[in-house]
Amino acid sequence: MKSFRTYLIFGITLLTFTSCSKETESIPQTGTAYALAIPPGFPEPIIPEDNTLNSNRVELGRKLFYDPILSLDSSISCASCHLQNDGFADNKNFSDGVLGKVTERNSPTLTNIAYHNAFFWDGGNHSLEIQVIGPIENENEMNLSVQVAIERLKQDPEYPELFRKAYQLNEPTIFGLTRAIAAFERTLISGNSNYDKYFYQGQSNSLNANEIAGMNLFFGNNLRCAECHSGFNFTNLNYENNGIYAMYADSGRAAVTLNPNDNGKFKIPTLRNIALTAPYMHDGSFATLENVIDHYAQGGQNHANQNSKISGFSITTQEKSDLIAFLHTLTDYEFINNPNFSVPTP
Amino acid sequence: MKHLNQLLFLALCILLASCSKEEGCTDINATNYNPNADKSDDSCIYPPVVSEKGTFKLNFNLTSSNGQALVINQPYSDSANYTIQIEGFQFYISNLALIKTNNQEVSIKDVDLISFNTSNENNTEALAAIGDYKGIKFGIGLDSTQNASDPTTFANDHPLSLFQNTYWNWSSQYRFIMIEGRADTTIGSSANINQLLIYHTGLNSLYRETQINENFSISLNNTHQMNLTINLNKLFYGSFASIDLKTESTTHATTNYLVAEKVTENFITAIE
Repeated sequence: MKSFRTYLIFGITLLTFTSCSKETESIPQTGTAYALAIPPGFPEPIIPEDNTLNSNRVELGRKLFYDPILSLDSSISCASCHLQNDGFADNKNFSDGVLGKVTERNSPTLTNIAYHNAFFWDGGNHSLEIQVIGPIENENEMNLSVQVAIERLKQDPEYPELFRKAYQLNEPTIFGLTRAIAAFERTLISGNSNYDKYFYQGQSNSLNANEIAGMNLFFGNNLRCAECHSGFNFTNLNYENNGIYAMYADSGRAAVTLNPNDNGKFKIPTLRNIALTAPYMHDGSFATLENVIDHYAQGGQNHANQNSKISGFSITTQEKSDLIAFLHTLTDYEFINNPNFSVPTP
Repeated sequence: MKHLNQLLFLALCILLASCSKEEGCTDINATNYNPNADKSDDSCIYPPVVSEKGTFKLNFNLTSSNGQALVINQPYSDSANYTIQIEGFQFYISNLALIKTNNQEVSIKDVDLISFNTSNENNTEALAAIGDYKGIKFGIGLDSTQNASDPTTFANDHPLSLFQNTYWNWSSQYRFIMIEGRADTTIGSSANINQLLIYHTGLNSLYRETQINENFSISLNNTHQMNLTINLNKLFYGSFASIDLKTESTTHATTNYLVAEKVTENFITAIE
C-alpha cells in the first residue's frame, strides 16, 4: 500500500506540473510529418520554424514546382529549367524564359539545396523561401507578378484547398506559395551515388580502379579540388573568382556587395550530379568536364581577384580520364529516378 | 480503500488549486494587479488613460520648377532646360518621431510608403500624445532591421508587403527611393521625351535620417498637419551634387552607386 501511495503522489505531482506548464504556440499542423531521408554521412539541414515539413506542404510545393500557372503565358514552370533528369538543372548555357527571352545565367542544380545558406550565383538571396519570387517575377524567366500569380491560384479549382491543408490559410497567399515551393525543394536530397556507397556506406566495390585513382587525384595535393569543393556536398559555399575571364561581363558577387574585390566571384557549386548538369560555370562557357579540367590545369586568365589556389597543374591524359570517371560517380541515379520528385500525377 | 478515495479527492483539490491560484492579472499597472498571479487570465482593469492623444499628419507634395505642383505623366522644363516627365515617384519614410520641447523623442510610426504615382500629394499620419513639440525626425528609406524583413509575411496592404513592388528579390532587400520617368536632354527641346530615367536607391548604407525643426502642439482629438515639399529641381541639382540627367539617368543602387548616393543626399536637402 505504501508503494502504491508513493506512485500516486508521484503521479499527482507530475500531473500538477504538467497541467500548469506553459503552452507553446506553433502553427497547427495537418498532414503527416515528412521525415527527410538523410543519407549516411549527411547532417540534418536547417529548416525554418515557420516552414517545418509535412506531406501536405511538400506535395503542394511539388505541384507548384511543376505547374506552368506561375509563368506569364503559362508556358513554363520551375521544372522547365530544373529538370530531374538533368540533376534539377538543364543542359543549356542560358535557359529559355517566356516570350523568347533567355536567362542571364546558367541554371544551377537544386541538388541538396536544403544545405545552402544563400541562393543565386551571387548569393544575393538568403532564404530558400524568398528566392522563390526571383524566377517568377524575373522578366527573362517566368515574368509574372506575384499579385497575378496569387490571383490565378485563388481562381484555381484545387489550390485554395491545398493551401488550406498545408498552411491553414483561408486562400492562397504569397507566404504559402514561397513556403510550399521551398518545402518541396528541401526534399531534393541526393546522397546515394556510387561515391556515397563507397565512401559513406562501406561498399568498397562500388568504385572501380580508375574511379578510385580519380578520387585520389580530386582530394590530392596536386589538384587540390577539394579545397573549395569540400565536405559531403562538395562545396564550401564560398564565393571565388576562378579566373575564367580576364574581364567579366557579369560582375557576380560584386553586384551584391559593391566590393570591387568581389568582381567575378561566384558561388562555388556543389559537384553532386555534376555529370548531368553541363554546360558549366555561371554562363555555361565550358561545355564538358574535360574543358573545365583543362581550364584549371592551365591556371586561369589571371584576373586580379582570381583565387591564388588556381595556379595550374600538370595532368596526364590518363589522369584526366580517371578524374572525369570519378566525377561521374557523383551521379545519383536513385535521385533522378525518385518518383517523389517527379511531376505529380493529377 | 476509503483512505485512497480521500487521498484522490485531496489530490484533485491540490491539482485545481495549484493552477487556479496562480492565474490573475499580472500587470503591475492595472488596478486589480495580483502579485501572487504568475499567469495572465486577461482580467486586468486599467485606470482611465491620462495621456490623451491627437493625430499628427505629415503631408508631402512634389514641386517641379518655380514651386509649381508636379503633374505625374506631364512634361515640364527644368532649370537645366531639359524636358522631364515623371511617371512614378515613391519613397519609404521610417522611424517617424516627434521631438518634445525637452528633446525627448516619441516614436509614432515605424514605416510608411509615400507614393506620388497617382497624385502629387500624399501623406502619413499616426496618433501622438498631446503636448508641445519642437520638431520631427524621420528616416528616408529603411533601417537595416526593416530592410531585412521578409516581404512575404505582411498583409498585402502593408508598406513592406511584396505586393507594393518595392522589393529587390535578387538581393533580398527593399528599394528606398523610386523615381521613374523620361526626359529630353537636348537643351530647350521637348520633341523627343524618350530617354529613360530610373533612379532606384536602396542598401543599408544609403539609409538617412533627417530632422525638421518647427514648433507645434498636439491637442486632444485634433489633427496637427505639417506640410513638406519635395523640390525636384533640388533633388536633381542639389547641394550635395548635381545629377547630369543625360549621363546619369539610371541607378539600381548596386549599379551606379554614386548616382544613388547623389539622389539620396539631394533628397534630404530637397525637403523643405
